[in-house]
Amino acid sequence: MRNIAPMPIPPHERSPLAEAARAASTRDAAVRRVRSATRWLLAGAIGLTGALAGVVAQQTVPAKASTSGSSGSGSTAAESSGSGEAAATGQGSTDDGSGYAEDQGTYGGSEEGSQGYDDGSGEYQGAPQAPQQAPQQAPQYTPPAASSGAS
Amino acid sequence: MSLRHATATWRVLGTSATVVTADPGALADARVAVEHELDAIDLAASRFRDDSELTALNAAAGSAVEVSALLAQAIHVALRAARHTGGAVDPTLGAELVRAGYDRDFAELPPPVQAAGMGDGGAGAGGAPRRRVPAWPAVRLDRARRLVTLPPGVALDLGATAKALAADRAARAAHATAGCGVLVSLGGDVAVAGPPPAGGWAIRVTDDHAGPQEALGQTVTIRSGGLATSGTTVRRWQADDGPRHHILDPRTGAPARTTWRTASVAAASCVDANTATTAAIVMGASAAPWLLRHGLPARLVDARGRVLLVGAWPRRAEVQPERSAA
Repeated sequence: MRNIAPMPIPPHERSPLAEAARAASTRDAAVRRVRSATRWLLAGAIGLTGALAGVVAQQTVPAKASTSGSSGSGSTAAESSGSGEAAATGQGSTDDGSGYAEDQGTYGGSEEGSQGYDDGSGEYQGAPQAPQQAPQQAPQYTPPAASSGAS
Repeated sequence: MSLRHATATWRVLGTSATVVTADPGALADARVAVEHELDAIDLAASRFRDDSELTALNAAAGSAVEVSALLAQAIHVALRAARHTGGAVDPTLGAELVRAGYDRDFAELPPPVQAAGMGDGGAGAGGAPRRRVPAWPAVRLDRARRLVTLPPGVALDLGATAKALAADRAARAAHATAGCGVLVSLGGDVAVAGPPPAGGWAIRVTDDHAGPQEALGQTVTIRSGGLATSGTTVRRWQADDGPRHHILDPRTGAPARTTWRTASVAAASCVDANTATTAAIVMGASAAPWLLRHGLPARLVDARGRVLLVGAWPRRAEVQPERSAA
């Protein structure tokens, strides 16, 4: 494509009104370019901030947690007066910020095959499973068959 | 609740074993089955026996080693725990445990000078912990050929999950042999199999599984699966730079500084319960949402003895505040 030199403006068209219109047009174009550049800079800054935050979240050792038993979104926590007990119920969030977000096998612990020994007909697969029936409070004065504590 | 069950307790694997049968006449057979399982898991997965398979595997890190079906299962269970806790339960902390001083049977370690009780006591002295790159993602297990390859320099410690696996296997074996409902407890990691007694199996949940029955805690009943408790107040020893406990934070390789001194969880198996309790100790305050997400009923006790009940864990009818042992 050939470059075409701009046509000189004829003297009769150099009216103050035309000059003002051209100046306004030039200014508007410059403002549009500045706005566009600002948007790109803002988007880049947000993206970079997110990426850096992700890196920091992966590498930071979480600060010592509070003892109130933080629970995720949708969960509730309540102190039962005088008992020293609190309860957490409901659904937890999917990102608890602990640095130990659950992974469904994206990385690590490579295992090949699934045969070769009997591990209890499908037991120990997938995430830890809830009990078939939740534990119940034992009636008062029930002698325990065993104890469960740290060892 | 039936009171006719029979109980046997003895020392094994550096802790105590208890077997309870709903039929008192079946106790002897059940105990034999349990002892057989415990002998097998000890020979396969003990870090403290020179003749164990695990010791040989750790010594051969960097090479593919064929292992027994039992050790392959124990490693599978440990890697599964790591995967589903985001690495909070890490079986590749063997070298770090040795560095922390836990290099022989716990009974041979010097007792801590400082009193136990605080959740983060025993996390060790020194400056800021250094970052550790988790090694469990690099462990290779070929389950079909039972071949295991550890990265060079990495040593497995299966203590967190192998004991619970032993409890599950022993309970199943004892039930198959005795033909009645059976409860097996290994150091407080409880598994049950077969029909439970009327009212279920009553279990006292406390800080220390060997503590007196009148110790503060809560008695609950379970009908199947397992119930486990992990804590930082019991398995402690004296290192050169201060008292230590045995639950390491995989991010640093140092004893975990944690919100909870004790975590108890009920699950579909003892392995799952133990996985969750160890993860809860390491995760700290964020353990509650993690437990909720998996529908795992839990009882968490903080360093001051305050109790947080999670999910479907039963609320006590009559309660008494627990006090810190410190």
